[in-house]
Order: sequence, then structure tokens, then C-alpha cells
Amino acid sequence: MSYTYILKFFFKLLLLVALLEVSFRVLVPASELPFYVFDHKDNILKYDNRKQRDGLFTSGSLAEIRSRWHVNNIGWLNDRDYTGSGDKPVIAIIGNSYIEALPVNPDRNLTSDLQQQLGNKYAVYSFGISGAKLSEYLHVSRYVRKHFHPQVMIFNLVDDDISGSQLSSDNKEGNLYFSYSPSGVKESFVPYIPSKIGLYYRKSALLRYGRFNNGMFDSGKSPSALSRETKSNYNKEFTDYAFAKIRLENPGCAVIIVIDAPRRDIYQGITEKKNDELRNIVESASIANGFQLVDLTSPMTDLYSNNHLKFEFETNYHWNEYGYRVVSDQIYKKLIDSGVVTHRE
Amino acid sequence: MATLQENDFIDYLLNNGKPTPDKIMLFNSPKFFIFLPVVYLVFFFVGERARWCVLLAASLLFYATLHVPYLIAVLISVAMTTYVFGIWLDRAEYPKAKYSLLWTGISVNILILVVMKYLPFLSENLKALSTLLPFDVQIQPVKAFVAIGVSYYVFQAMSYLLDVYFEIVEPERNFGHFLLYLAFFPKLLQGPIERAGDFLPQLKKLQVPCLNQFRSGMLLIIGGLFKKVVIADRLSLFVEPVYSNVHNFSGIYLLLATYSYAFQIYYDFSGYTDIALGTARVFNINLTPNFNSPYLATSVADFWRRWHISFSRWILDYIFKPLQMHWRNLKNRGTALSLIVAFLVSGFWHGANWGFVVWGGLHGLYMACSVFYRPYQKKLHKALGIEKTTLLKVWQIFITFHLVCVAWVFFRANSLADAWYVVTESFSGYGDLLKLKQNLEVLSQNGATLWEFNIAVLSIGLLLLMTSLAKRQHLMTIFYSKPFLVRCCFYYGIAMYLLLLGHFSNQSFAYVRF
Repeated sequence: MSYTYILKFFFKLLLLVALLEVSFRVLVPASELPFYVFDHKDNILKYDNRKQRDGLFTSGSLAEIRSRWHVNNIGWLNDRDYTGSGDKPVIAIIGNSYIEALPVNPDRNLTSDLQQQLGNKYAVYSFGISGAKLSEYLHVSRYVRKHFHPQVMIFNLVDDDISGSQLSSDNKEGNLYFSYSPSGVKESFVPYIPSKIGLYYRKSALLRYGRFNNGMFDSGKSPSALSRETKSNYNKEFTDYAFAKIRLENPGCAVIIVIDAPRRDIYQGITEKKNDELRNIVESASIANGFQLVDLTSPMTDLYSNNHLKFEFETNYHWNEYGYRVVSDQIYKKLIDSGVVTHRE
Repeated sequence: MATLQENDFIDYLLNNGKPTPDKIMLFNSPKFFIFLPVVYLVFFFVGERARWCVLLAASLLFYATLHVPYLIAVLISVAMTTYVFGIWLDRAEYPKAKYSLLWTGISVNILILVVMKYLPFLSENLKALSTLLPFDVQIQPVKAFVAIGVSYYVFQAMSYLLDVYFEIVEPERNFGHFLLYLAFFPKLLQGPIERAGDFLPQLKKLQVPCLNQFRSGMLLIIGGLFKKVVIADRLSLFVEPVYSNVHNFSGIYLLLATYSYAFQIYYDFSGYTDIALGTARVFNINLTPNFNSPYLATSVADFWRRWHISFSRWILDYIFKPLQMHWRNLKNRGTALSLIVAFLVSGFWHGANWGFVVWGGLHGLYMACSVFYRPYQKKLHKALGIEKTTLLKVWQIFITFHLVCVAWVFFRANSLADAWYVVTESFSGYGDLLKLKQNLEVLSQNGATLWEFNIAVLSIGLLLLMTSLAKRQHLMTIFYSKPFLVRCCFYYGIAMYLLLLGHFSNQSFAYVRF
């Protein structure tokens, strides 16, 4: 075999890669994700609104789920720009990818739905960043208080938000975590180290497809969130600590805790609550701190038994548009019932 | 606020000394497809004499990516010991000295294998046994070592010593060549278990492959990848949820999972072997094929002529035959006994787990029974009226496949209790509609949908078609004579199929853990 053949072979390989590159831009668009940026002034991880402000998120190997995203004026995923002017009472929703809501268009997520229900009297701002845990929610709440002085803070607890707050190996860089010692809960910040490789590989649709749509670079982990949740020994300590801090640091601000339903159990018709211990922890900490609790278990169970519509995508466990609508309804109901906000005029 | 220290990160990265799947440079990982062309280019451009050095360096680097430094030390220790004993065996003049040297060399290898792989199992079982004693014995639990690849190269080392002893091969004088024989990266983690006589002569003159050799190597790599990411990993969706919690599933799902597992493990292992063979072939090294349509076997003995061929040959040559010779006076009983012992060893080789031992024992039992059943076989077929008909072959394939599947249950199940549950409950619960619905929901939540099942079946069909076409040499010649654009469309189609329908979540290959 000659040198020429090897050269030809690599040339053909390059041609094939070029063809694939075009295919994953046109035929099956590879997912685009917003770039992270670490705001050193506020010591918080947000999205970069200078590198890329708009993009198309796709999920699944055939890009079955497609939605657009927009990074607003201060680096959060939302169609609306945020102002800290104080002309309208702010309702802040803090959470992780469920609040970030990449799999649905920005006008169909929880923030939009709730804004629609509340009308223009209030400004609903979302502060969602993928992979954040309860410990990071506490960190974000400090940022939100500093800049927006919200009237209401809504914290959305899903998956392993509590046990995931434990300082460990798979911590997300640029986030706050908890560790526990006999002297109490300690806050630890994992420094953010920007990935330079990410800047380059994201330019290739083929590599983005492999990374985001096909999980080619994943470690093969399958996080079964709720099963992990019960394994942590410090759920109670972390919850008590975070909730107490939120209460003490936000006097006069109403707090609502939303807790996701065990949806897989609901679809299987399992009625007994497997995760009671966790719910009890959240419930008792909410009561102790005077927070309102929205447990989605009952409403989702009732709705599913009536219409058999699922609250998430078939290939993605995040809420779908219907799921967001249901959650928004429950939060709105709680806001009205508790007298935190008044009816839309 | 405290900051997570760098050392903590390194510790977590190492996962307490155990490599996570993302650390291993698996054949289906992007890392490997960067590693391979780089090694190939260096191999291609260096001189003929230095090529084995490139392969050796690449192999050690490949092993080092596991991030378990002691594994390299174990590999080099095995290689050095075996190399030295090989030379001493050649120099020894007296049969007794030769015999002692052989057994010392083999014992060292077995000791290394036991320490690396079986200590936790032994301590666990000794502890269980000690409870039966009338006095207190303190047996501390032993932490398992990471032993990826060890059982493969230790078996190669032992076969080398035996082959030198029986003067089947000359001892290798070049330690680098010998180390490469054990460490050659395409076969390092999962075999094939090569014989020195087949492998070492190929290192003497490492030329770049001819065009056909290169092409067939590339096709094997693509085919292997297809088997792994499109078929095996897709089928695992139907296996994992069921076998991780068998007691929650009805009979029909237990059956579905067991059938799926039979094909999953075949496509997983043969996919790996194809990539290994293809990779070796582009370096102009031919490895032993490990599979030959094993599920078309007409008897369990035939199955073992078609499944993990390099390993079954090893068991046959170095365990079964000497035992059969030893017990030849017992006639059929001796053969049956040799088969059972050989297959128990085979089961134990797969891992320190009673499930593997039962799996091996079952195969041994099947084979032992066939020794006694053989004289009546023809009579039975005649009585059934299927003698000399096509139906006979279909019947034999059907029975063999199901016998193999029963053994797979013990191989795959998390415990013997789980395996027994699968075997006994596979034909019950068909009327419990609520449970069936719940089971279906659990499967679909884990991605095991009808769509995935159909893709798996379609892909198996496509693969069988492509394989049968590829076997016809004239069709390949016609294909390669087509214009580049036509071939490019074909390659593009394959690449898109792999990327769109492949499961690339870096699931480990099943046989890596053995």
C-alpha cells in the first residue's frame, strides 16, 4: 500500500466528515447550547450574552425535540430582559434545567405561563441554570435579592436537588455546595474553570451532535435521581440549613417551594409514596420557616388518571409544555390562595 | 468559603481506584478513533524494524489510559516471569527440571491471577464457611483489585509456557516482542486469546498491509462498531431494567429480556472482536476469529466450536484434553468428568461469582449428558420422524439455542436467587394485565420502546444481509470498482446510520470485566 493511498484515504475521510458536518446543520440539526460565563462581580455562573444570544436546542438522536432559546440582557435564559428598576413587584423562579426550560420554546415555559396568568402587574423572572442544586439555589437567591428585591421567591425542587448539594466528585464548576461536619453545614464553592476546548468543538455541528444529541462523550451514567435521593445521609441537615438561610436572608419575601411528583410511579399506577422521607423533610422545613409548599404529586396523579397525558417528553424527562402549564396552574393557585398576590384585574 | 482541592478532584476522578467507563479507551469511544489514526500514521511512516516498538508503545499507552498504574506493573511482571521461564524451559536438559520449571511458571501466573481477581471471592466464601466451625476465625474482607485484561494475558502466558514445554513453539528471545504478544492493544482488554505460535512470527516482519487487507480491516471495524452501538447497546435497553429487578417482572418480560440478552452479549462481544480483528489487520497482524454464527449451532459442543473460539480452544487443549487423557480408563465417565471440570474452570475464569460457575457447570453438564445421550440420538430422531430432514437441523438449533439461553440466565443475573426466579417464573404471570401494563411502562421509561425493538430487528437483518454479501468476493470487487461517488454515498449512509441510530453512551463492553 503506497503513501498515495494513505493520503487519498485521509482525504476521503475528510470529505465524509464534511458531508456529515453539512448533514448535522441541515438535515438533523445538532443542538446548540448557550455558553456559560462566570460573573466575577456577583460570583455567579450565568449565560454569556456576547458569544451567542440565540440558538436552537435539539434533543434526541433524530432531533425530535426542537426549541429556540434566547439569552437576555443580563445572562439568563428568557425572552424578556430583566430590569432591577423596581417598578413592578418581582416574582423570581429559581431552579435548574427545569426552570432553564431548554426543551420548550421560551413562550411555553413556566415563567411565560405564570406571567400570562398573573398579567402585567408583576414581573416574573426566571433564574434557572442546568445542573444547579439546592445549595446553588441558595447562592442564586442571594444574587436575586441583591439585584431584584423580589416579592416572591419560588424554588423548584426536582430529582436529586437536595442530596446533590453534597460536595462531591461530579460537582458542577462555578456552583455552591454543602458539606456536613459535626459542627454543622459548611458552604463550599467549586471554582469555575472555563473550557477552551468547548469553544472550538462547539463550532462543529458533527461534534455538537455527538456531544449533545448522542451522548458520545458521556460517561454512561444514568442518573436515577429519585433513587439516589434517599441515599444521602444529610438531606435533612442540608434542607434545614438552606431553608433557614433563605428565610433569614430574605425578610419580608414570600417563599414558595415546589416539589416535583414521582412521575414514573404515577404512570405505573404506584400509589404509595416511595419518597415520603424526603417529602417529609421538605414539608417540615417549609412549615418551620413559614414557606408555602406546592407538592405536585396529587395534582399530577389526578390529572394523569383522568387524561393519561404525560408531563414530560417521551425521550426527555424534563417537563413538556403541558407539564409547565400544570406546574404554573398549581403555583398560581398557591399564590392566590395564600394571598401573596392578588387576582389578575 | 472553602474550595474543593485539586487532590480531591484527582481522587474523585480515579473513583477510589476504580476506572469509570469514561476513563477506559473503549473501542466505541471517540478517544479511540483519535488514538487509532495517530498510531497508524506513526506505524506507517516509521521503518519496518521500529514498527513493533510503535505498537508496543501504543499498547502500553492504551493500557495506561485506565489510570490504574499497578496494571502496567502486573502486565510487565507477567511478561518478564513468563519470558524468563520460557528461556529456562528451553535451556533445561532434564525432563524433571523442565517439568518443575513449567509448573513453577504456571503457578506464578495462576497466583497473580488469583491475587488480582479472586481474593475477595475467596475471603468472602471462607468467611461464610468459617461460621460453620465450632471456634471463631477472623477473616477480614479483601478489597478487589482492578483486573481489566489480566485474565486474558495470563492465559496467553500460560499457553506460551505449555507450548514451549511441549516444543510447539520456540521461546521468544526478544522481550519487546514477547511483551507485545501479551499487550497488543486490540486484544488486550477482551482477547482473542492468541497462541504464541500464531502471533509472534507476524512481528518478525511488520510490513504495511496491502490494499485489500487494509480495506477488510476497515470494514471489520465498521461492522464491529455497528454490532456494538446499533444492536447490542439497543438490546441492553430490554435487558437492564428487567435483570436489575427481576422480581417485579412478569414471565413474558423475563423471556424477552433473556432472549435479548442472548443477542446482546453476542453482538457486544463479537462487535468488540471484529473491531479488534479489524484494528490488528490494518497493522498487518491477523488475530484468531472468535465467532462463527454461534446461534446456528446444532449442539452445545457445536456451540463451543463457534463461540469465543480462542478461549474454547484454550480450554480444550490445556484443560479438557489432559484431563481426558488422565481419566481415559474411565471411558465415557472420564470424558464426562473432564468436560464438567473444564467448563467449571471456564465459568470461574469469567469471574469470581457463583453465577459464572453455575453457567460453566451447566455447559459442562450439557456436554457430559451428550456423551451418554449420543448413542440414542439417532434412534430418537428416527422415532420422531425427523431424521434426514431440514426440520432436524431447525429442531437441533432451537434446542441448542434454548439450552444456551438457560445458561445465560445464570451468567447475567445479579444473584443465583434472581437467576432461579427467572428460570422458574418465565412462564407465569401472563394473565396479570395490571402487572403487564406496569412492566411495559417501566420498560418504556427506560427507553425500551417498540421503535427501539424494531430498529434492533431491522439492524440485525441488515447486518446479516451485508455480511452474506461481503462474503461473496466478486460482489466486493464490483463494489470497489464503482466510481468514488457511489462508494462515498454508501459510506455516508453507513456513517449516518451509525450516528443517528447508534447508542454512543460509552457503555462498557460486556467481556471487559472478565
